[in-house]
Amino acid sequence: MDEFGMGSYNLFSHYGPCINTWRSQPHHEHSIASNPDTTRSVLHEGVLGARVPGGSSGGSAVAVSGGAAFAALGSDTGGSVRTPAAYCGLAGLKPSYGRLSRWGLIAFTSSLDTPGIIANSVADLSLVFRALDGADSLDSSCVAAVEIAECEDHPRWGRLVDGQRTNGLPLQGLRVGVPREYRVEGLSPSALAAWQTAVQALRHAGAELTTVSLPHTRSALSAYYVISPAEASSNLARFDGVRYGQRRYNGSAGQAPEAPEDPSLQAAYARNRTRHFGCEVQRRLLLGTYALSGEQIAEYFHQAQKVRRLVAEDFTKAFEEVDILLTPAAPGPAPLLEEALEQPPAVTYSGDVMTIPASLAGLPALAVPVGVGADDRLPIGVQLIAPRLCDGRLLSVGEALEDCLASEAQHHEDTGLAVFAAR
Amino acid sequence: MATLKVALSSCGMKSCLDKGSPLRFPGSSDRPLNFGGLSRNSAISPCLLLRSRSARAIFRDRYTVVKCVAAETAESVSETSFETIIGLEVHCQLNTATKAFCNCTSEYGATPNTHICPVCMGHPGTLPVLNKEVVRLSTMMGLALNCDVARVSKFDRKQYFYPDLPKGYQVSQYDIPIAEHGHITVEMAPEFGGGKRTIGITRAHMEEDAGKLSHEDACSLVDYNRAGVPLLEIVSEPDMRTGREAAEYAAEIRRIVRFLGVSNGNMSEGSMRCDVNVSVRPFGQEEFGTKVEIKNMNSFSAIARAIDYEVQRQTGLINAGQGDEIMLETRLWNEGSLKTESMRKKEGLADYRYFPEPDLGPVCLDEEYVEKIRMEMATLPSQKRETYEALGLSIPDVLVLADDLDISSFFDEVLAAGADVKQAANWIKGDILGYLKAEKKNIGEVKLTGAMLAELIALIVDGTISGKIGKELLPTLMEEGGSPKALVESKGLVQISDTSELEAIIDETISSNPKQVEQYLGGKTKLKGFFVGAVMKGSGGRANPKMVQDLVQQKLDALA
Repeated sequence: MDEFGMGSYNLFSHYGPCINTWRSQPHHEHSIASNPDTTRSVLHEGVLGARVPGGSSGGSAVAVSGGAAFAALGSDTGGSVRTPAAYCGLAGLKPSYGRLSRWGLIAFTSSLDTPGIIANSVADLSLVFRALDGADSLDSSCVAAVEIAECEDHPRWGRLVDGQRTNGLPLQGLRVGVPREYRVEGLSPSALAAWQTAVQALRHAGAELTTVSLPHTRSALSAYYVISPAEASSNLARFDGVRYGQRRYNGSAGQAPEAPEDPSLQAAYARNRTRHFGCEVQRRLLLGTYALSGEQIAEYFHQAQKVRRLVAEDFTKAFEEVDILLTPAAPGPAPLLEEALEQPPAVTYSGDVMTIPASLAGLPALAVPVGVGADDRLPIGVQLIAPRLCDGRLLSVGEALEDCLASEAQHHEDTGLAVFAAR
Repeated sequence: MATLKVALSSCGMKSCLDKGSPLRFPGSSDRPLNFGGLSRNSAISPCLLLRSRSARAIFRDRYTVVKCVAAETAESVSETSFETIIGLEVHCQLNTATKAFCNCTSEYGATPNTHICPVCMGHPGTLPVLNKEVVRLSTMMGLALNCDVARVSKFDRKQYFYPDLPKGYQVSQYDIPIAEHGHITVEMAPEFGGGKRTIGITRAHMEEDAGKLSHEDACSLVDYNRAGVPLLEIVSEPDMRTGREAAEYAAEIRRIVRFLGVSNGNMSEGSMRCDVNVSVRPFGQEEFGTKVEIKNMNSFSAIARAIDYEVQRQTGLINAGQGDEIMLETRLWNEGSLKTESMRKKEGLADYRYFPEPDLGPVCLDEEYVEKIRMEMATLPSQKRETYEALGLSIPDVLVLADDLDISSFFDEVLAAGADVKQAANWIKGDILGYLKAEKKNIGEVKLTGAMLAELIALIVDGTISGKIGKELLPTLMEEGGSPKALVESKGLVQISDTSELEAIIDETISSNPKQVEQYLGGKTKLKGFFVGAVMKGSGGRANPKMVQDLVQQKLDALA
């Protein structure tokens, strides 16, 4: 995974980038990227044409997609489980904030971090989720079982009852919202096709589709890239070389360290942290420290907190009219490794636009694989977002969507998308 | 030695830091104290106070007056009086069994780094869980300080790098503390001017302590046993004007925490730490002078002395035209040299980048909870003082008896057992406190109970024993306990109040001292004392002194 969960492509691991098991067909020839800041000399001929798995939990996705694991855990702060799932043709769940314990999860953005699950299908995900679900007295942000039960038993938001699925149309009466703000500029044709395919599938399953508006979606990304680095700058302060992290020694292991240039404590902290944090981590720590500093906190952190509330309110309003939301899972398929390496950070960050709003609102969100693009043969998926704590409903609608897609796979051959058959 | 190394000792972490590292201590003392408004005391005009002689005496006590004589020429002698502004930040370690956010014991004095766990060591992946008792004790203290107790407060992270801070931030409360806008009233001893002072409490907030650093020749060692121990920081308004007032304020805070069981308030163990902010300004000047923070006082008298020294230093600098040398800085009180010494300058205010602690939810208190704590709260020292005053005791007596919870409870026990108020007070103030001081013990460590003292007093009152015998019995009662009455009987110490028995002793004394009798009859009447003493001695101290006085007089008069 990306170092401390910071990254959208899994390029920033201490051990080098992770590579997607999916490749575009036919094989594209590309030159090796030459950005010394990020390549870390890992690119060799074998990775020509390779795709990123998405990040930060790319390793988890690759383990499942390569058949090494039935399911894998990841950590989703702004999309780190859903994005790799989408790029690798898998199902990925970010549960509601407070539903799974964060105990043991190395904190990145404490107010957003959620343990997530990646599996081949939503059905597999549900199995793992049920095993992990439940409040933990060691995590004060965990929601009490009573509160969860209230949401799950809610007549509209609660779990779909079995009868509903066998008796006629599986999603009869389910109100699905399609937020217009998610039709972003740069949405790839295959991502759009997948979205439309899912809309069709849900409609055939009896759901009522409506367009809804989430007006603050645009601002969510900016708010995220203030709040998340700010909390990270605090959470990562402990890696200062005194107890965690390493001290910078000039000599090799086992040898006595040479005298550092500046003997002061502050200089020692700076050396340890400069030497041992990767470039993306350093970038975000600096951003976050700046956003919390005396002169900037009102302008950045406090503003971002306000935006976060507005984003959450958007969702609350939308859920007065619909039971669940359907969006693309990512703006497009997995980019080439070398493209990703050359991308300026701001462009990379903008790729998180689909996943971040649900994170800011603490809502459960699920990436569901739809199919592969007709041209590039790369997997593409959609995202379902449910009201807070309605993870059960989210998973049952996800399973239903998966079933519908598989059963009518042939219907969509003409949309520029090859829909996945049943798994 | 200019290297930086870390060593893991067998008992935990041992961090060896370079000796040349600049030192910065944790605690929120760098937080700007609100010196923004005139306090109620500063509104008193010094001119009014100085009109009469007695007013001047009061003034001297209330304000540290520094007279400055410009030395250049004898003609240009001028005097400037300064007003001292003092505010205190008191950290009290809360009396909880375990730390604020984990299950480690918060016991003092254990082997370094033995009371630590992944949570208080800030291990990655761990999370804090708030100790309920921290909230209960803080709520109680907030009520005792007459504060508005916030029904919803929250935790924030105060961020700075230092080796004694495991997470790189301290969990504290920033903009919404648990208690705000309070006040306490302290009673000044008559020797310090007497009277009551009301001192405002700006706020009290919950936070966790950092580890403890100790500096050795080649390295600094960190003991994380204290890391995560719950503290309540109590910030006063800048309402104090003399070192004595500040010391008395701190003493009252300690009395309150001890009476309520909120903290053990032990300054030498660091469970109560006082940081003092001092500034001076010429009378009449509205804006405050530059504030200096003083730390490292281990007793209340040290607080008073440190402030007095600091005031002298600051006024001296101003009078010498070097007022700009008073800097926003932290100074340490040196108990040896009796001086304050600069520890570090505050170059601008530190930026702690406070933000809400995302790992802990808001602290919500319902009305029922707060009321329950209010009902359960023990008697406050100020209430005790009022009760004792109402019993007719003098202020000095009240201050002694209500100073310490154990003494006060003991006194209450004696009264409950029916003893006379004044006598009980005298016994405790005199012999009992004297004994305890000499033996370096507290009242809980001796066998004397309130009921026993009441019984002893009763024996004296009913004339069974003399007061002198009573005093002689005290050490035995302290050490061995038991019934005073039984002790008196077993030792045959019952007072001789039988006239004929006493007369026999007196007659014998007179007849065996013919020379003194002659001198007495010759006019040397002072010798009466000699006879009384001899009679007392002859009775083994058991003679009723009052009766001996009378009978000796009668006998001597009869001789004349």
